Amino acid sequence: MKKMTAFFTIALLVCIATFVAFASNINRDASSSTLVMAQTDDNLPVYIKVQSESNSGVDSQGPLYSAGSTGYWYYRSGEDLMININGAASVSCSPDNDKYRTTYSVSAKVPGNLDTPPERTPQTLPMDGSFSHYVYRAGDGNGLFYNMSGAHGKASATGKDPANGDQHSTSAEAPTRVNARNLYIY
Amino acid sequence: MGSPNSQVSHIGMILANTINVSLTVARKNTNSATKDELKGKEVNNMLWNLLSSRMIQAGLVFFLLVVGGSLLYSWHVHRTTENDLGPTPQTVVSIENRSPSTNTAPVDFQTEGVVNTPEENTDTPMSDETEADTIDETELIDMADAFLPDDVVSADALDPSKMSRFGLGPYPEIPKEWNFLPNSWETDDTIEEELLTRVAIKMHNEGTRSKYGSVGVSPTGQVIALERGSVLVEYEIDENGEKSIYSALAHPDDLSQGIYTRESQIPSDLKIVTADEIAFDAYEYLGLPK
Repeated sequence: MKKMTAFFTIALLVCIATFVAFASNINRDASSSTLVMAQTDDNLPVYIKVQSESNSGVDSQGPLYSAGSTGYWYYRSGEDLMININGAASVSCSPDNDKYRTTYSVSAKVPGNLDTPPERTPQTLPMDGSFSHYVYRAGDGNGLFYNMSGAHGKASATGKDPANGDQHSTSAEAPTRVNARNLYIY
Repeated sequence: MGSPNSQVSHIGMILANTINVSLTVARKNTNSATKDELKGKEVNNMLWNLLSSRMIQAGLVFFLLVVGGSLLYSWHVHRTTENDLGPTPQTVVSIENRSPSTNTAPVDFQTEGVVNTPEENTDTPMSDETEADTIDETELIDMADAFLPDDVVSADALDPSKMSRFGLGPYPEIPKEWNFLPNSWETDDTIEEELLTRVAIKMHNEGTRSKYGSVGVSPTGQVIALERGSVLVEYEIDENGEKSIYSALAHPDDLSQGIYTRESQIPSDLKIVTADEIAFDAYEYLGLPK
């Protein structure tokens, strides 16, 4: 009897957990955030630490897909320290009918005043049908922004099918070292 | 015919046989009743054995769990769908559909401070019933329609469910083949969304919608209709004085090669367009006042 009680308790917990997960994440296809970071090259002078970092987050649900990414590259070119920092975000929708309605937002930013303006957030507009939209920001601070952080790329979208009431939503942004789900250091 | 004695003995034999047959039938009935009782006991025993089986109990509990879980999930979906779609607007009955029996209470002019003076009234007085027969409410509506233009007062204008929430006037008819949900206009949360729906309907009616992969409406009321094979770009001048692309919008297949930051990176089979070149005013297109 104890075994039966234990079995049904576990079964009930599994049922509840499955229900909660399914209800809160219905139709969720994929979601991830990845940060890839290169270790400092110790063979170079200490005052120039060459490193790179590339961060990306993606998410999809139904016909919607969103992605956000940032990249930091510090490298030497002769005596110069070269810097490239960028942020990018994109939303894509590939529905099976041209009545599918998406409302979305994409935003990309680089830190400081690498470029003017440092942030791009195009006017969001409701769109019907299939489309893909990205924004991109990049900057070269001429060595002035070494070890800078604060770039971002983030995107979000909600969609609905007026024929059957199906609704979807997705959002993604470039992770930081703190919140990345997958962290690769090489 | 035999003697009376032989007749009596014959009758006695018949009676005896009859009693014997009756006793046999009664005995048989008693036997069958006993068998039924036994069968009932057997069934009860079987049911008891079945229900006392742990596997059966487990199955019943699991069945109840599944049914309960399904009901719970069904309730959850129903509730979230209702929340997403919003409250159903109250149906407003058109004035044409109102029953003539409404608002038939006689008006007491005396209480309104008006004194009726029958002496001054030279017309033949008419009873209430005669008036009801003579004046039909639909006739009043027809008369009103005759004197007022359709775009000023119409049945749709009096029915909020058929009028734009954003002041764009009566909703156009959604093509039946789209199979939209009945309350689809209610799901347009912004004026841009409603404009987009109206633009899509008009494009469909004109047969031009299929030319475009996507159609959108900007907050300034500009329609962005993008053909397949076109890339809508936004430029800026970078620190080196070169044109740099910071935004691109196209069909997903046309942007599959990655991010284009320079015009030279865009494949030659794609047409580069800007908003100034392709955008047009939604209000002008739809013939709506701004």
